[in-house]
Amino acid sequence: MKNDISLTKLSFINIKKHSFRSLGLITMTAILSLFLFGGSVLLLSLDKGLESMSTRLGADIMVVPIGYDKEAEGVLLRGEPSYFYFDKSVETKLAKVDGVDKVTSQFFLTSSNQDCCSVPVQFIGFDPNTDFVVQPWIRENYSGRITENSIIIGNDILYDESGIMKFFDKEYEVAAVLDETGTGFDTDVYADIVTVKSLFEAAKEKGFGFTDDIDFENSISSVLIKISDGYDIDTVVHNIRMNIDGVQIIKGQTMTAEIADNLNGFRIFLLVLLLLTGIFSIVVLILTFSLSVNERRREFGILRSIGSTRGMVVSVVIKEAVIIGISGGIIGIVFSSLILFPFNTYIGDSVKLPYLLPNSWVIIVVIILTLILSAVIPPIIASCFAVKISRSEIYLTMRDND
Amino acid sequence: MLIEVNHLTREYRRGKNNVQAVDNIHFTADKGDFVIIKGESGSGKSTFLSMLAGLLHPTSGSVFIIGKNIYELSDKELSCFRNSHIGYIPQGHELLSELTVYENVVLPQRLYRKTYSDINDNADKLLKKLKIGELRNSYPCELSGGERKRAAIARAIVNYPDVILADEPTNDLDGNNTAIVLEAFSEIAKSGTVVIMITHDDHISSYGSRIMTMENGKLV
Ligand SMILES: Nc1ncnc2c1ncn2[C@@H]1O[C@H](COP(=O)(O)OP(=O)(O)OP(=O)(O)O)[C@@H](O)[C@H]1O
Ligand SMILES: [Mg+2]
Repeated sequence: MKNDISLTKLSFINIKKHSFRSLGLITMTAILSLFLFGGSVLLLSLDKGLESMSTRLGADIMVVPIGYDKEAEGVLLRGEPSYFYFDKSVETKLAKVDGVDKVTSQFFLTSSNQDCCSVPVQFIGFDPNTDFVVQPWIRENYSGRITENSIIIGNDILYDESGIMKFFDKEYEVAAVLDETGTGFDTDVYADIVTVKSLFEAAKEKGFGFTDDIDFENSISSVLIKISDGYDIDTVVHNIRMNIDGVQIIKGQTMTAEIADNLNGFRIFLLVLLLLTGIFSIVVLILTFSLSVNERRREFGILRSIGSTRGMVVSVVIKEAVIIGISGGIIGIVFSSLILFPFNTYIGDSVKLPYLLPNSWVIIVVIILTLILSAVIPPIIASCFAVKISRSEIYLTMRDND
Repeated sequence: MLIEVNHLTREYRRGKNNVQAVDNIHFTADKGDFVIIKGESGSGKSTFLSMLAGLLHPTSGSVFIIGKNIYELSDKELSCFRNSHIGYIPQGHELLSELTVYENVVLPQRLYRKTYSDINDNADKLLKKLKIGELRNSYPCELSGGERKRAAIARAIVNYPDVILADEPTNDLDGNNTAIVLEAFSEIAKSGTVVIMITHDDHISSYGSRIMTMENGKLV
């Protein structure tokens, strides 16, 4: 019916006619939902980053040339390309240490800006015969054998449809692209150690001076260790220290623990921020609703005088608040998404921690929860005031603000 | 009796004192009565009328309307009762400013009835009768005081109540409009509805079938 009116329609009319008041309330719920949604996605991304980091790390102990622990961590955690070498014999020595189960070596190389990439690329050569770290997760995306001249690339590396990438003027075939991890792994290029060493030669021919003074046949960058069952990491680390000089020992555990530590600091910061904006916006919502509901005492009195029950009057206010809450909730989520998703990489880079967006269904759950909260908080606040007014004498509320 | 009031008393607290706004009133009215209540300002007329409308709990005493002790009803029962049996026209601003005149007038019909087919569109007829038919789509802020008052009257009678309680309905009206309203009330009263009207105006007493005066909370 064209001209029809109902209490539900009254709620909509009220929102429209009091657009300034409604906009203020919608803005406050939008802020609440923006921080709620954004904060949750940020926290979940950090958690997922840490999780993917520790599953990919794979080794109990990593040994690198002395003084290069920071660089090694940079390679793994933040994708900061780096290279450093020590003698191949370290690997054999480490294999003999008591408590060491498996050893494998890797060879690092760095390309400056090639025509492929906007970022410098880290090459990691592994030994297919002994490797127990890289291949398990390469196998998730690539089942064939990794041949010479084929490479496996991290998720952030761009390549064209031809499937061929050129480094130092040599062509390599992209065999597989790895899943995203939110860590430095995403800008790595993996290949057989032989392939990487051929790259090394190509680089040398092109006149990259950095390769001149080392004997690449006998050089490696890192040794990854898996300890035997029944040994604890600290004992094995001690054994290595006793037997081998001039190496830097990095515990996989320590690395993840360090990240977890940083993450906790960040998490607390985020939670406090979330709590403060939550309290702030709820306080503002309480104040605004208390003003707006109180200034409508006469309106409620009139509604009651024509026969509305307490429940009907309260439901007018609740419906308004739900509409306001859902609108604010959606706006907040949209704005939050406009920051979170397009600037995903930038955010990941600036937090300096493994950062990986959760699966889309997790995001959908967060969206639904945020919407529920934004749809529920305003009506709870508003109905408190409305119930209070609906309890007072109708005649007296009608005479108010005359 | 359609209305029966026993020992009706209402006190207000003002600072440390109690004000006896309505003081032990006995009152009855029956079908077809057009009661006009006069009295000085502050004598308790509005307080009395709002208690008849079920809008203000008495300090003591009872109000029976069509045999129901209205202050013993639950909120739901009393609200529904008010909606279908009582038409109340308050003193002062009385319309919802967000709604048009028409929407204001039909709102009481929309509160309880699920289907509207049983409602013949009497709202427009009432508006025409009260000479504000062309204002149906205007908002209260666009109306004069008298036009607003007439819209409130239309809203009060739209559900064919048994009792109409009007608090100084002719206050803002000129002679011509006052006549329109009073004619309407007389007609409604003749159809069997009790009309109780408060007024300051001595000239209009002639319309009433009973004239009463309020003095210090007592009806004489
Ligand atoms: N909310 C209130 N609190 C305290 N005292 C009140 C309140 N409302 C009314 N009174 C007092 O009760 C008495 C009766 O008031 P009421 O409004 O019923 O008078 P009235 O006859 O309708 O006056 P008027 O002709 O001016 O409308 C007055 O003395 C008034 O001051
Ligand atoms: Mg009065």
